[in-house]
Amino acid sequence: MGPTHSDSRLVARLLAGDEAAFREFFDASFPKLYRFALARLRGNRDEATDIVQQTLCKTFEHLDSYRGEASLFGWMCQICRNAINDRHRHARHEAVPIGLIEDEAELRGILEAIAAPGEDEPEHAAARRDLVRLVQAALDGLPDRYGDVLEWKYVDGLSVKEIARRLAVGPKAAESLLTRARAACRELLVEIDGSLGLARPRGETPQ
Amino acid sequence: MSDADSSAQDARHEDALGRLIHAAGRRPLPTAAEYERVRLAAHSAWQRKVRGRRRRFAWAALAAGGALAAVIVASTMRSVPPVAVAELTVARDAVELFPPGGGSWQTLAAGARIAAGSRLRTSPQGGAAFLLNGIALRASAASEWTFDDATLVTLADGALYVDTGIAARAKGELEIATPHGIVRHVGTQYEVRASSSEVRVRVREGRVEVRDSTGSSHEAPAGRELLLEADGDASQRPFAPDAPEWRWAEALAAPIELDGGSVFDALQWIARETGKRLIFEDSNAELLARNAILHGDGAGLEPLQVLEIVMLTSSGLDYALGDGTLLVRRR
Repeated sequence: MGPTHSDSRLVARLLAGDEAAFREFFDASFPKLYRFALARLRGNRDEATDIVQQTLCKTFEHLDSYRGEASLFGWMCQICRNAINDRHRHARHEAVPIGLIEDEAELRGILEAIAAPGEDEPEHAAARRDLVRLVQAALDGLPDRYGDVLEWKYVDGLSVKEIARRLAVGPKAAESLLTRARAACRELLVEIDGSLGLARPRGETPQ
Repeated sequence: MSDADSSAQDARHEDALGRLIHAAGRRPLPTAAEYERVRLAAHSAWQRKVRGRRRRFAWAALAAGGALAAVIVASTMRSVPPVAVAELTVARDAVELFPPGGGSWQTLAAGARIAAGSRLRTSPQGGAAFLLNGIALRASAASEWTFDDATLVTLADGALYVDTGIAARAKGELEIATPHGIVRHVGTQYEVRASSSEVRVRVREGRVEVRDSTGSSHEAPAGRELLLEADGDASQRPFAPDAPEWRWAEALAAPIELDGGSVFDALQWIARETGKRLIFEDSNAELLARNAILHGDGAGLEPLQVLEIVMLTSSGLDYALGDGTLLVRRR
């Protein structure tokens, strides 16, 4: 996901000392960054919290060097990745591979494993876990509140009316947001591996 | 493809995407305590950045009148290593530091100098005392906080006891940020205890101001406890300056130098550390205390143990501990 004008505007407001901008920035980025770190630290919540705290502090330290060449969240993910690598080096851990499936384009193998028979096999379970994380990472990678809206709709089972109420907008606006969120999500998943039928029902051939 | 085919395919796409998201389930969320801890640290880092920029802008304005001088100052500032803002004076059990640039928790020994941005924690049986910009700061067991700079400490969990000394310093020279408000001292001795659900400020001497997250200000004078809850409720109650709850801070007091000092000086220190009012039965008792010179060392002793020793070695004086008072009289 590339940089947006709203990222640059948010950075400018943060550098100006705008408290509302801090709240907006923190509430939007902390949970996503936390999940990003959690996935790369084998689910260790304490370590993830430490790393994210460090990442956010570093982000602020260098905020005026943000040039808007990547999305703000993408820039923070890079800082977070470096912090995790540093931690492993400091702790003299053996080389721990922290690259995840969403970091490296190995999606095809995973999806093929899921589609293959033998669902009880350990590889199948591991592949399913990877897919779950991938979809969750994709939701986190979507702009605005697209990820939340899709989760409310398909995980929590909220109606469009309920989503509208939660966002304090009209039902039409909520429906439109949902449509845009679906399209963005599909696009992102296809972008990860365009040749797969991930965003298409199985059996359908690409157009 | 006809319009009907196209909308049927769209519906299938939506259905597949919906099933995929449903199967992935709800994304994991940080707990409220994790959220609060990181929010506080991030907020401090952000404020440091904003303040630093404002300072730099002020320098830039000065540069208009003397560009060369400003360039020299700026290049000096860039090469300055992280500034030490505090010194560990007493360490009980494990006192650990997480460096500002990242790394891992390190155990500290007394005498260690602490850089701005460092995070610290005490063990469940431990405690620590620090000197920060001339202010004595003590941390209770199982506390966690950050020395943001020489004037700001962010308390995430546990309790900090602040003693600015008898000569009260200017208002606002040290701020303690907690999950529910920022504490500034007007007076000189107080304790701030914070958790994810509340912040409790006990004032032993002077006056303390707490600004909550909505910007409302609450003040508590000496002898009061101010409670600020997560839902914004604030309440106060009396809290004796010599209540047993202060004992943990007394036990971490920096050792007094007895050698060469008067009994009077030692009694003043003991009274202050124990939250008692020092009273002499008559002027002769006070004169005796002022003229008696002590020899020896009070290192490793708590204030009431020092009192025992001082009284044993000063012939002619006796004492009685009352409710809020330390009475000294002639034998």
